[in-house]
Amino acid sequence: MIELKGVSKSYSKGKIKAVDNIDLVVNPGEIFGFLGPNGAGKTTTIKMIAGLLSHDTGEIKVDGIDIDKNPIEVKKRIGYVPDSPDIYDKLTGIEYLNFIADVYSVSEKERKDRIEYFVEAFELKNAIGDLIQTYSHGMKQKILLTAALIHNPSVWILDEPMVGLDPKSAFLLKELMSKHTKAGFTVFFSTHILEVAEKLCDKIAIINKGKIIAYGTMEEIKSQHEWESLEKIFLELTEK
Amino acid sequence: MGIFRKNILGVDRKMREFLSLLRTQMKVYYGISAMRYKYFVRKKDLWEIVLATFGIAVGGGTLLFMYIMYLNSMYLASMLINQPQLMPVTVLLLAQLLTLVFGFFWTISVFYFSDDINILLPLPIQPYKIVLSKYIIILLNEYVTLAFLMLPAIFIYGIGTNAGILYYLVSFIVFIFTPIIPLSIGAIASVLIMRFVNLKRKKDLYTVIVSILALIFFLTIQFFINRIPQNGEQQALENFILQNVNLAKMVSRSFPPALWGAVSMTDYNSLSGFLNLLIFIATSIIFTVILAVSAQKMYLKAVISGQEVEAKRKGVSLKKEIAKSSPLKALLLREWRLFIRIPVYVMNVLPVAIIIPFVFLVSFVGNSKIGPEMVIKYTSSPDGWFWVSMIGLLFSLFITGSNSLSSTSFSREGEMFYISKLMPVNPETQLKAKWIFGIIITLMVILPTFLLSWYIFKIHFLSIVILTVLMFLGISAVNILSLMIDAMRPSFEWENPQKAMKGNLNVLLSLILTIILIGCIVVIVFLLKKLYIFEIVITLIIGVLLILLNLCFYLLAKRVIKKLYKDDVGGEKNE
Repeated sequence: MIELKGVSKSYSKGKIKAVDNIDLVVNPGEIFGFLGPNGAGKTTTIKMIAGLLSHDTGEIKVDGIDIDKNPIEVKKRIGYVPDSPDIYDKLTGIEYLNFIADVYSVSEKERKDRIEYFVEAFELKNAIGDLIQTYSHGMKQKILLTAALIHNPSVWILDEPMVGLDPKSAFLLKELMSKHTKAGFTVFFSTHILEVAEKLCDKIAIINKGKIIAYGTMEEIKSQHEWESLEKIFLELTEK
Repeated sequence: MGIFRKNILGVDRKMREFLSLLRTQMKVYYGISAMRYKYFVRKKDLWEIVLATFGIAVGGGTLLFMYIMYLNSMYLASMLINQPQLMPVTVLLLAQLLTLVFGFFWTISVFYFSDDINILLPLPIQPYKIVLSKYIIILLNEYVTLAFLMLPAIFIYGIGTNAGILYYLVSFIVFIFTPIIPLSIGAIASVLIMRFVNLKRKKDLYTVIVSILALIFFLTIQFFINRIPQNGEQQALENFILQNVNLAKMVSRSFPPALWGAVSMTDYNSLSGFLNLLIFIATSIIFTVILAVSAQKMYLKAVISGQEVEAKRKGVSLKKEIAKSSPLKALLLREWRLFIRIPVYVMNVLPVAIIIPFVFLVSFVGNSKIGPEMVIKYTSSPDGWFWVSMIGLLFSLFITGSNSLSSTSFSREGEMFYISKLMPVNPETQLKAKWIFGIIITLMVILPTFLLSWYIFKIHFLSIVILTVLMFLGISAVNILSLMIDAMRPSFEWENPQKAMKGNLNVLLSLILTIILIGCIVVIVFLLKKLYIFEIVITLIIGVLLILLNLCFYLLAKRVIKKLYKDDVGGEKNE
C-alpha cells in the first residue's frame, strides 16, 4: 500500500514547484497508472516514494511505514525500476543480480528460483555472464526488472517500464503485474502508453504541472468526462 | 580574409560551420558551460577555483624553479664550448619529442574514444573538420605544457645574449609552430593505425598500455634525475651536460624540425635563420594538410567500425554463479570489481606500489654518496625503533592522503549512486565497506615499500611491530577523513571515469588536510622531545591521538553521509 498526503517538492530554492501538494492512495491489490506529459512531476513523485528524493512537505507511507521515520524498512518493501536503465557497466548480469540479492538479504534458494525464472522468461540465459556494457537498452531494462523483483517486494514502483522492452517481454511484464496484485500486493507505474493504462490499471491519476488533475478508477474518470477515450480526456485535461 | 570569404560562395558558411563545431568542442572538452553554470550562475563553490589555482601555483612553481636553474646551467655550459644553439635545440627537441609521443596516444583517445562521436557521426560534417577541430583542442592543451617547457628557455637565451625584439618575435612564431609538426605526425600515425587496428574493442587494454608507457617514462626520468649531480655543484653539472651534448646532437639530426626551429631563433638576424623559419612553417602546414587529407579518407571508416561492441555471449551455469554473502561482503566485492575493472582507477592508484620502491632503490642503492651502512646500523638496532616508526608512520600517512581512492569513493559511483541510495542497507554499513576497502588497497600499495625497506634497512623486529600498529591507525584515519571529504562534496556528474578521479578536487583537498595532519604530528613529536619525554610515552600519545582521530572522523563522516543519503541526487530534472 502507498499513501501520499500533502506531498510537495520544489527545485531551485522553491522557484520551480515540481510536485504541488498531492494526495494519493494506492491500495493493496491495485495496479495504479500514473500519467502525465513530460515534465509534469511523475518521476519526481516516483523518486520520492522510492526514497531517492526528499520531499519538502507532507507524508509518504509504504505499507503503513513512514519513509522519513524508517527508510530502510520502506526500501525493503519496494522494488524500483528507474526510467533510464542506469546500471553498473563493469559488472556481469549475474554479478549484479547476486549483489542486489545480497543487499536485500535474499536466501540462496529464493534467489536461485527467481533468477532462473526471470533469466529464462526474459531470454537472458546466454548474456547473463557478460559484462552489462555489452547489453542493449532492452536487456539492461530486463536485468533491472529482475533485480527489482528478486526480493519479492510487496510494492512495485516502475517508471516507464515498457520502454525498450520487446513485445514478448512487455506482455510478460503485464502478466507479472496482474499476478502480483492478485496476491494482494501493489503496483505503481508511470507510462505514456495510454492503451496499456486503460487496459491494465485499476486506478489512474493524471498529473500536470505538479498537480493531480484526475484521479480514480477508469469508470469514475470516464463518467466525469462524458465517456470519452482516455486519450481525449488526457489531451483535454493537460492542455488546459 | 573577410572579403575573400564573402566573395566565394559557400566558403563563409563552411568556415562558420567549422568555427561552430570548434566552439562546441571546446565547451564540451573543458566543461566551460558546466563550469560557468556552477560557478557563475549558481555561484557555488567559488573557493574551488582559488584552491586549485593555489595548488597549481605551489606545485608548478617549485618544479618551474628547479627547471629554470637547470636550464641556466645548461646555457652557461653551452656558451663554454661555444655552441649557443645547444640549449634551444635541446629544449625544442624535448618539446617536439614529448608532443610526438604523447600526441600519438592523445589523438587516438580524443579522435576515436571520446563520447561525442556518437553525436557527431550522424551530422552532415566533413570528417576532416571533425578531426581538425579535435586536433585544435589538443594543440591548445599542448601550448599550455609547452609554455612551461619553452618560455623559460626562450627568455634565458634572450637575456643571456642581449637579444632584441626581433628575437622574441621569431621565438614566439617558433613556439606557435613547435607542436604542429610532431602532433600532426602523431595524428597521421594514429589515423593510419586506427584504420587497420580496431582498438575501440580493446579500449581498456589501450588505457593500460598508455599508463604503463607513462610509468616507464616517469621511471626513466627519475633514473636520469638521479644521475644529475645535485647540491649546486656547477662544475659537475656542466660536465654532465657536456657529456650528453653528442647525444642531443645525434637525436636532433634525426629529427630536423627541432634544428630548424632552433636555428631560426638563434640566427634570427640572418638569412639562414629566416630560411629555416620558412622551412619550419611550410613543413608544419604541409603536415597539417596531410593530416586533413588522410582524415578525410580514413577517419569515418575507422570510427564506424569502432562502434561495434564485442560480446562473447557465453552461457554460464547459474548454479555455480549464484551464491549468498552478507551485505557488507557484497558491498566490498562491488567496490573491488568496480575499481579493478576500470583501468583509469587502477592505473591512478596501484602503480605507486612500484614507483616508490623504484625511487627508493635508485636513490639509496645506486647512490654511493648516501651509504646505506650508516642508516642500516641505526635501523637494524632495537634502539632505533622510535624514529623508524615515526618516519614510517608519516610516510604511510602521505601515501594514503595522496592516493585518490577514498577521496573519490562516492564520486566514482556517479549516476549509479541511486543504487546505493535505494538499497535497504544502512548508509553506515556502506561507509564501513568503503573504509575497509580503502584500508585494504592502501595496504596493498604500501606493502612492497614496507617489505623492501625491511629488507634493505634490516629494520629491527621491534620497530616493525610498533610501525605496523601506528601505520595501520594512520592509514585508517586518513582513509575515513578522505571518505568524509568526498561524502561532503561528491561530484556525481561525470561521463568519463577519468573525470571522477583525476578531475576531482577532493583528492587535492584530502592531500592538503593529510599534510596538515603530518605537520601537526611532527610538531607534537618535536615539542614532546624538547620536553625530554620518554620516547615510549610519545609513541603512546601519538597512538592514542590517532585512535581519537579515527573515532572523531568516523563520527563526523557518519553525520555527513546521513545528509548525503538524504539529499537529492541527480540535479534538478523536472519530470
